[in-house]
Amino acid sequence: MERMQQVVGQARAAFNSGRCRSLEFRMQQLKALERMVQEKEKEILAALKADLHKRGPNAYSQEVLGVLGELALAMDKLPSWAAPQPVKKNLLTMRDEAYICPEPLGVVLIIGAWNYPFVLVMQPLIGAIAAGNAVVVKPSEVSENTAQLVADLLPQYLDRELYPVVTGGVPETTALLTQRFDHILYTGNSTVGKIVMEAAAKHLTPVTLELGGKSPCYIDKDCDLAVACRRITWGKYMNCGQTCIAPDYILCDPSIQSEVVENIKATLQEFYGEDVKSSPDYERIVNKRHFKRILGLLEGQKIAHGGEADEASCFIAPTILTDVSPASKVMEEEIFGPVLPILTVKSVDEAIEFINCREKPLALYVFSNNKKLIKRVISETSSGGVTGNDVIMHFFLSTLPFGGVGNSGMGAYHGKHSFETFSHRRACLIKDLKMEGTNKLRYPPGSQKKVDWAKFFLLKRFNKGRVGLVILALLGIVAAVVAKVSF
Amino acid sequence: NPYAGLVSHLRAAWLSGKTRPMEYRRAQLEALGRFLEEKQQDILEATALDMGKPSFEAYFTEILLCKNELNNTLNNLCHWMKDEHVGKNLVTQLDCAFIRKDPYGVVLIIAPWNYPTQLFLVPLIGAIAAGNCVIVKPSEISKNTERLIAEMLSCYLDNDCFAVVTGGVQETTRLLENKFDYIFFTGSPSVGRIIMTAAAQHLTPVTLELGGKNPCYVSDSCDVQNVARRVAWGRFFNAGQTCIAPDYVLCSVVMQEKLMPALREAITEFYGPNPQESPDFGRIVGDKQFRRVRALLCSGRVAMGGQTDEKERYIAPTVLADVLPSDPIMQEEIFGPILPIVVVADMEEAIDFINARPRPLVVYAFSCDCKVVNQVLERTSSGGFCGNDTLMHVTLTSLPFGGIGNSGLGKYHGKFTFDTFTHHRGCLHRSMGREALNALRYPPYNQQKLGLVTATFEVKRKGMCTLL
Repeated sequence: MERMQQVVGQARAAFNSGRCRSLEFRMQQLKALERMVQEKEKEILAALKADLHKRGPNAYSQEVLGVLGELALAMDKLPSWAAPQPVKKNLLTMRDEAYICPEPLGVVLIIGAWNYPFVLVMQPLIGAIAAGNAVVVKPSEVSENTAQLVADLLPQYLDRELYPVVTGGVPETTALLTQRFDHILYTGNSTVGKIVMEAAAKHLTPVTLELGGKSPCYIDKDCDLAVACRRITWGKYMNCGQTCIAPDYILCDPSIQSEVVENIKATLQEFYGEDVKSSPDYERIVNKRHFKRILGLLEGQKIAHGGEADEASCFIAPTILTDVSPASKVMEEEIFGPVLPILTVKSVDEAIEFINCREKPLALYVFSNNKKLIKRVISETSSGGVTGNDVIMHFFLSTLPFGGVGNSGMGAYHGKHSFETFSHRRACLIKDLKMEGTNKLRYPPGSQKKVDWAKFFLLKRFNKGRVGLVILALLGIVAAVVAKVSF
Repeated sequence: NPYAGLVSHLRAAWLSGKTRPMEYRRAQLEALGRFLEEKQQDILEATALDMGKPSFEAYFTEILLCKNELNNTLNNLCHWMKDEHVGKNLVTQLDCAFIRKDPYGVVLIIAPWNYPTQLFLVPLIGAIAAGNCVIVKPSEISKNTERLIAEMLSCYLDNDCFAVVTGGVQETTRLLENKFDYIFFTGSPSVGRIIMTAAAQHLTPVTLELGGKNPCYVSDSCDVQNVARRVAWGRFFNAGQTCIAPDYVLCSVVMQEKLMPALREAITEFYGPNPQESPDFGRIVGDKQFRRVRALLCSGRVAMGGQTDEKERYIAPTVLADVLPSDPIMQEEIFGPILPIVVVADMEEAIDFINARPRPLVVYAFSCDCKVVNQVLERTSSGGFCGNDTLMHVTLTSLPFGGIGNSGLGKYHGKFTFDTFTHHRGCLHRSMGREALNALRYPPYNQQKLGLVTATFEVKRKGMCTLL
């Protein structure tokens, strides 16, 4: 507890010193982060391999590439993101300066998750630094090698007081959450999300919660099943299913269920070969607890493919379940493993209803050749994000806000959205101390004449025709003069 | 759970999709417009009864500003609702990428008593425009307005989708047991904490418009009479019961001397020799609040005003001089017609004073020297900032209105209200074709594939040679 107070207090003092406000300083830190990722690539990949059995090229494209992209984007755009934004003025404020000034929030806390342990700490960190904040980083203790690496590396490259790393588990995180932060970004599950928000409420700290849920995947009869299944297979089994936006379960017509299974099986063969266990591209479950949890979901299910497991190496084969009942255990919680249940629905209406009776998911997927159908599914459901005719990909477009809704979270980040999440957009109006004439309209004593003038100045009944604007401006000037003279 | 029925009724209406089409939202907003027109007199009378709000003030804040927001929303609704297409990277170049503006669902708006119509209506406008179902919980302290809203709103809006819940702390607590998809609260920081804690149980996102002590720095170089007028106007508007009122003044001892006659003149100009008789000066809303504000008078010395009348809940426009940071009036948000002046040596000391305290809803700075104004702006943090005037920044709907830290989280007004009640859903619509391009991302992995993926995905810094 005392240690946390000290760490956070030091970060706050460092923030208050003002040194992280200048754009040069922020750029310098971002550049240092970039150097860190480039110079320590080997160490980062080794940590990911130790934690999740993630191989080099896979780990690189999943965790390092995205980080480099965000860094390049942030450094490129920082001057424009941080610049004050002038806003449209009304007649009354015509001669004033009115703008929105993005400002840092202060000391922010980033709590990472274990499934993509590097990128889920780095991407928020980039946004928080770019926005000019001090940042306390708390990587997940479950991915212990990456946590230790982050704790070792960040102080070597970044300002030590401004960006401390705190390692540890539940007790350390609980102690950390008693401190006051100016924003908390948490990635993890909904149960802990509630705890984080409740702790934040004590200090009125805004939060971004990147949670999870069961992301549905609807496959329409009218679609290229081979392509659809290949894409789904890729998204489902990457990182051994431990992806918050993995397609959790499939909804499809009973008539195509077996074809879906066959296509997925064929793709699995293509991706991982005959013996999945010996494929270097197939990962493992992060620990025994999750291993047991996922195996437990298979009980009583019809296993159409897979099901093999090996506790010693936390290996679970890519598994497909068919004719799954909505009431079964595998449909109660987010699977977060390489198990793909297929539930049959007779129509897209049934699929939409099925999705809508459940908590809002982080992602929603729909495959169809029929564009109208895709549009309909999007319009009649709600989710954090959507990819149509593919999976996962909306995550990689940083112009799209990435976040959940309802049980899957609140707030969003990536790209400019990260910068905005970690900034306060301060409204600024700078008036002149002169020109008191127009102000007299608003001062007591009140009168009907004043009311009528107020209506004229304020009511936005007018259309934005250019001629209208010019006339308005002229009238405004006349009014100001008249007001000055008559009051 | 006494409100479970009501909430599930609204949720059923929400799930039916009724509130989503633009025509529906437009019709409901236009009905709100008719409410403002037809019930204008009733609204003004109710606020007069609730806190003696002068009719000019009431018209300005409860009718005019609301009409402004309504018209702005109606003019722009179509545009705001549209999918926002976003820039794409190489991989998604041929896809459709956009941000969909989804309503949240069933939202709750809890309004305070000081601007009882505006502070429920402006959020309501945004919530309806964004396509939600809404429960409005007006403040029980402004009881006449509460009754008016409860009786009248149902005559204008669709009762399947919009409801009013009345009551006090107990009723609000029970209401919060239900799951809402968004909660918008205006009130005090202590209740804000309670609301956010309740919201956390359901992972409900919130906007909290809270308060604090808004500092007002007056530099030595300024047009004293204009400053006095603008500060007095902002302080005594609605008898000081304004979340963005200048709470206290920071200035040098020299400026304090100059401000006194100027403030006296401004107060007389506004309210005449006896403000208690002026129809343009309001009253404190309730006995409890009156007693609380009156108790703050024993701080510093009364330079002008100080008279009170408990029967009328009248507190005269008061200026306190030589107030110390330890005085009672400096320990809480005043929310009454008393302006304390705290003497500081210079702008540096003023900035340090402001920064040593919780971040307020707004910081004010007055100076003929724009460098001074900019310094105060740059070196402090607050929800908003207004240089050389008070209150006016909230009349500009293009500026976001909200707090930071203890003064709140989230923002609204204009399009920001619509955005507050909207889930911005990232959507990527790809094609089933061009599968060959995807081959790069599939296992089995190798260095070559990685090289190509890197080349196509990487964001390169400008000025570097690239095939993109």
